[in-house]
Amino acid sequence: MTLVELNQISKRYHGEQTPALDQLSLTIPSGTIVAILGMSGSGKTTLLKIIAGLIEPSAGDVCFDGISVKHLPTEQRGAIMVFQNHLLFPHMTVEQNIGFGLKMRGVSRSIIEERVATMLALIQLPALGKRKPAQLSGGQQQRVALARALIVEPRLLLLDEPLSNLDANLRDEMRELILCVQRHFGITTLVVTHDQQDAVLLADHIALMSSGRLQQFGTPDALFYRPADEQVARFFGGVNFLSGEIDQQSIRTSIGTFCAPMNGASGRAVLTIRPEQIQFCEQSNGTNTVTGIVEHCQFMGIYYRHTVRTTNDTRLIVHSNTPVVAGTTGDIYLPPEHIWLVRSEA
Amino acid sequence: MAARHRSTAWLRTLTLVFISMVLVAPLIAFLLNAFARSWFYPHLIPQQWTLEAWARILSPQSDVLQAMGNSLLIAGVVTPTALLVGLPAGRALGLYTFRGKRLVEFLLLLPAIVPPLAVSMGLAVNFLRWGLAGNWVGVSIAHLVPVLPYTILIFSGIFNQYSLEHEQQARALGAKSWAVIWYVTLPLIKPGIVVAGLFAFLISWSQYLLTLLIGSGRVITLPILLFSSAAGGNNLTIAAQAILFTAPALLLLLVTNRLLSTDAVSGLGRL
Amino acid sequence: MSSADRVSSRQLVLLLAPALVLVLLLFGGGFAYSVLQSLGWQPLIGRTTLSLDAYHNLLFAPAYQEVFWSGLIFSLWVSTASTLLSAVLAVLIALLIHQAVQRSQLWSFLFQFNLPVPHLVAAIGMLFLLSQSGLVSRGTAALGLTTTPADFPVLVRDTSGIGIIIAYVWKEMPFIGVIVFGVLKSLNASVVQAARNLGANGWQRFRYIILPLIAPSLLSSSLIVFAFTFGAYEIPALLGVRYPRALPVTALFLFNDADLNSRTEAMALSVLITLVTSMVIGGYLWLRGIAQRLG
Repeated sequence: MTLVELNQISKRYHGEQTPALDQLSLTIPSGTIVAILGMSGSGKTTLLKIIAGLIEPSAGDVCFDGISVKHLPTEQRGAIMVFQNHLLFPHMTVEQNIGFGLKMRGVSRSIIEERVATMLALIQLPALGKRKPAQLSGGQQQRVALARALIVEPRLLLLDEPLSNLDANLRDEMRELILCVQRHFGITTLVVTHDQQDAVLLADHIALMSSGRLQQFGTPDALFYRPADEQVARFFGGVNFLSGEIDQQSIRTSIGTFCAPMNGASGRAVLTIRPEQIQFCEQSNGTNTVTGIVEHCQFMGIYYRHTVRTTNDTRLIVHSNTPVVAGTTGDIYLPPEHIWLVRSEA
Repeated sequence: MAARHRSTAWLRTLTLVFISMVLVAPLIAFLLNAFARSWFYPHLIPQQWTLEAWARILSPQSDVLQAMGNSLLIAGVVTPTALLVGLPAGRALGLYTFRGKRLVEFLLLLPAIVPPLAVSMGLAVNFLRWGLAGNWVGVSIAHLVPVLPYTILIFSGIFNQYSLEHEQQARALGAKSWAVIWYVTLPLIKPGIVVAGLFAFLISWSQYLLTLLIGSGRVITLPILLFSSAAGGNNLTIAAQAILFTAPALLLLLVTNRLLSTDAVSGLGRL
Repeated sequence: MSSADRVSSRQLVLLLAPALVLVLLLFGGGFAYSVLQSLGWQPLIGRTTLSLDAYHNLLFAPAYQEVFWSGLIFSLWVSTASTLLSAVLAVLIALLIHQAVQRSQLWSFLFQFNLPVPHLVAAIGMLFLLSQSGLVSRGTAALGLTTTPADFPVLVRDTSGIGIIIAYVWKEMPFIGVIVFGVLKSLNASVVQAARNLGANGWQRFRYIILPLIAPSLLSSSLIVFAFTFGAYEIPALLGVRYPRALPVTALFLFNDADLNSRTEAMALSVLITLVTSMVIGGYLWLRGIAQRLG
């Protein structure tokens, strides 16, 4: 149940031009799961290790419940990390691995045995206590690593790409386990991932990072439908971007003028709308419609992906459940409530 | 936390420097003694320097030159022999698995672990009977006992990482067996041959007990000379001889440092 | 190693034969002959009946037993002390070098430096350094701690074998150190970090993570050092005294004795030395076999 505050965290490595982390500030609400999302190289694992105390930041501060932990070494912070390659101790059994943290704290052996048994049941591996890590499958190893972290009742749980090394079914199981465990113990949890679907499915909030900077922090909903800028939109699969000039309550683009919620924007802006929210409609000359011709219709399994060419060869991507044959000319409607304006990069 | 790091780093460096000094100290003592004409207690450095020890050593009647000649002769004979015998054995152990391999490995490496005493004594008495005692031939044969395990070990390690594809390719192109060995195998394992040769040479070069027993005191190699000097000579002579004796090993370590794996380097410690 | 390689037994035999023959003839033959001689087989002076008399003499006969038992205790003491000291120092220094991230290359080279120095030279070096008028004694004189050579303690050619132990430690510590350092390098540093993150302090990390992982190599190299120092001749010959005398030195002394009868005892002694060494190595292999089976 720890509130975590990151203040202006920067990390610069010797001899590197660009900093790994650049003045990153973030507040993580107590008892929530926050996904730190980004591509490789965005600095997310570095950030996690700084919070854990395994790396020292070049500048900035980390606070747990309002108190700075910057000078606390990692062994005293209580921010326990589960590493991407589990890092189980190869010479110890599963039971010894799980009980390790308690043993370091001087807990009596009988209590350790008890708690380890509870943990083994929680991760659904009750019979594997005496095995060595090398004898376990990848998924099992990951679960043992999780148990090893949970048993010490950490202030903060840090998961580094917990799902990346698992195949599809194991991913679902592990995701369920993480959610179940977090709800049960209420530990503030940070999950680093590069997979936006994992982030969306796991997290209460998402912190999107790019090149060492925080792009946006918000609920999955917000990042999806109200991205902070074009980069965030693109990360979550946004493909329709029209730049234009704001004129009172609408935005004037090269293919027409659209009504849209302004949310404080003015001057130049970029209109973005998700492909599944554009609708094919009957001939209408209503507001927010554009005439175009379907260039391409691609079956994607769950939906159909259409490339629609409109005025000036501007293309919009439209997803729909029913196919519209290539070559069809028609109108597409951009509902104003689903239009979102972002800052123009220009 | 940064301040604590800095002070432990300081302490660490200090300790390492101190240990390095302890490790190097005897060698410094040798260097100083080898050029010291008079160096009496309690002076920390020689009062008078001289090159006379070296002049004496390098003079034609010097027993040192003779001893060095013997050492070189014996080591020079042992090395190619050990390579010739060790290479095929190492190849067999490194490339293939077969029934009884562990036993063979054990037998071939045994001489490296067992103290030379009992073996040398038994060999000495036998060689006497066969006229091999007291001459360099007998000594060379005897040196094979400690040298072979190491060459076999090194070659076995080399062939462990070796792929037969190149040889198979050459054969497919029509090369005969000897051509394959000469044009493919040997060039591919050249670094291994160098290392194994080095070891063979150094181990033979530094043999004392074996040479003493088999040579019956008649084959004087450098270590034999050095030992008798040390038992009651003057420091100048001792130091100069010791430097001559140690120099090849040190030089070779410097030259081949990158070629040697951890196992190989630690094996050097058996000298 | 490709499993597709089929090599004929004939080829194998050809490859292995020269080495095996040489080893069996020279090593096996030499040792077998020593054993035979130790059992009384001395055709040169007409003795061909086998008996354990020489062994009995070594252990119980007044002419030999004093020298044997005192030598045994002395050799055991020297080997144990040298091995323990070398091992402890080696681990400490390997750890230090491992943590000195910046110049660990340089330090590790420095520590390999004395590996190729032959034991004989090491012994002489200790004479130069540690004798009562040696360099260290002159150092203490310069510091004002001693005034005459006699003030400096007897460290070489002393009855406790201190000089011998120091010489062995000087040589064997880097030997063990190089091996341990190699293991440390291959350790996954992140595993230690994970332990740290879970709350383990420096000592706990060493005791529960690092030590168990370096233990096998540490143990095997230590046993090699023990076996070697127990059966080695040069250093105790140069740095030891007449009594107590290390067993290998006694063995050679008996061997060279003009009285050929002593030769039997000499052989018996060297066989005993070999036996002790083999037991130590054998014990280690046995322990390792058990550990491996336990998984």
